[in-house]
Amino acid sequence: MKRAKSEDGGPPRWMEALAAILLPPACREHILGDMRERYQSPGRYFIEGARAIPFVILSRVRRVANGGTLLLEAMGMYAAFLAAGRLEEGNLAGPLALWRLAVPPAALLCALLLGDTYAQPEERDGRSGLLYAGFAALAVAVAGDSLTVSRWVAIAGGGLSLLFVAGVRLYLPHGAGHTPLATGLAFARRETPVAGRRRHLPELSAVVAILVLLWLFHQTARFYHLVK
Amino acid sequence: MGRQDSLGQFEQLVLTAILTLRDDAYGVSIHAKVAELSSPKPVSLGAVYVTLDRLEDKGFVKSRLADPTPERGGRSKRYYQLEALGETALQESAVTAKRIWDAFCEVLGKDWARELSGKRWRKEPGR
Repeated sequence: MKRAKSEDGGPPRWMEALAAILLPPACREHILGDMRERYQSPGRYFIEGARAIPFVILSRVRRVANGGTLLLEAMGMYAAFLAAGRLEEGNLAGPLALWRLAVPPAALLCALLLGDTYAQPEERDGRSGLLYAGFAALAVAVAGDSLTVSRWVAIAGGGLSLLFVAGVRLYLPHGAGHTPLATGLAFARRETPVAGRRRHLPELSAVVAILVLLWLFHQTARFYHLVK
Repeated sequence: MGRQDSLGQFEQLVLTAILTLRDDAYGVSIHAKVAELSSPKPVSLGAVYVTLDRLEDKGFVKSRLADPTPERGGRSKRYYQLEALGETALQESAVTAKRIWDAFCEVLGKDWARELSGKRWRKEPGR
């Protein structure tokens, strides 16, 4: 059977380019090479890519996602939108107002995580995540009233959120080599001292998250006159 | 060793593959070896990459990128090497597996074990 290959005997260029776009840069080089080495036909290449690439992306997300920092960033961004919500009357009114305000920070958080996943492996300051979050903030601002918050709240909240996240990333080391979720175990075994300021970050973030959630529930319950 | 140090079955297979491949342990060769070890169960390439990432995070293996080669379209291979921690964890898993095997033999008899081994070996040439 005749194999459909590119000029140099590998997979079709468009297929390889598509796989290269989808794969995070940190694992692009060796996985593309491995897939090329195993190449038999375009169909098999496609199936192999479809079966491997989603897992590789998820694995990368797990490696770059620092639970504590992510929680801190999420809380900070929500607080930023909450503060921005006070700019205009009516933003904090209504039964689901506080929950509605959580939609833009959630979008920004997803963009942040995506940016971290597709960051260059040598990047340690988390600027890709910030860039992606910046685009998400812009998209939220453009979407404006059609989304859950008004345009001005989106602009102010997005700006404050980006400032907060930039501050967090400036203060805390970032990247796959600095994620307690991924490397904490290895750190513990090698008895490498973890920086003091990071040691209790996950616990602290969890406490803050619980307090914010309790406050949110209290506010919602107060609106419905369940509590005074 | 703590509970976190215990290895899953697939992690044991991947570590064993790296151990046996020595200096030639990279994605494709590890996948081929794991597929051979777990035969007749099929193994996906994605599962191998995810497990290699996890083992690296746990400090059981380390990796390095080699120089690009023309047969891979100028792409590099990522070679994996067993760390002392990984070797210890694999040894402990092997000891546990041996204990399980001995317990089986004790309950079901040596003939049963020989029969099972024979079945396994008879399958090999036909594969």
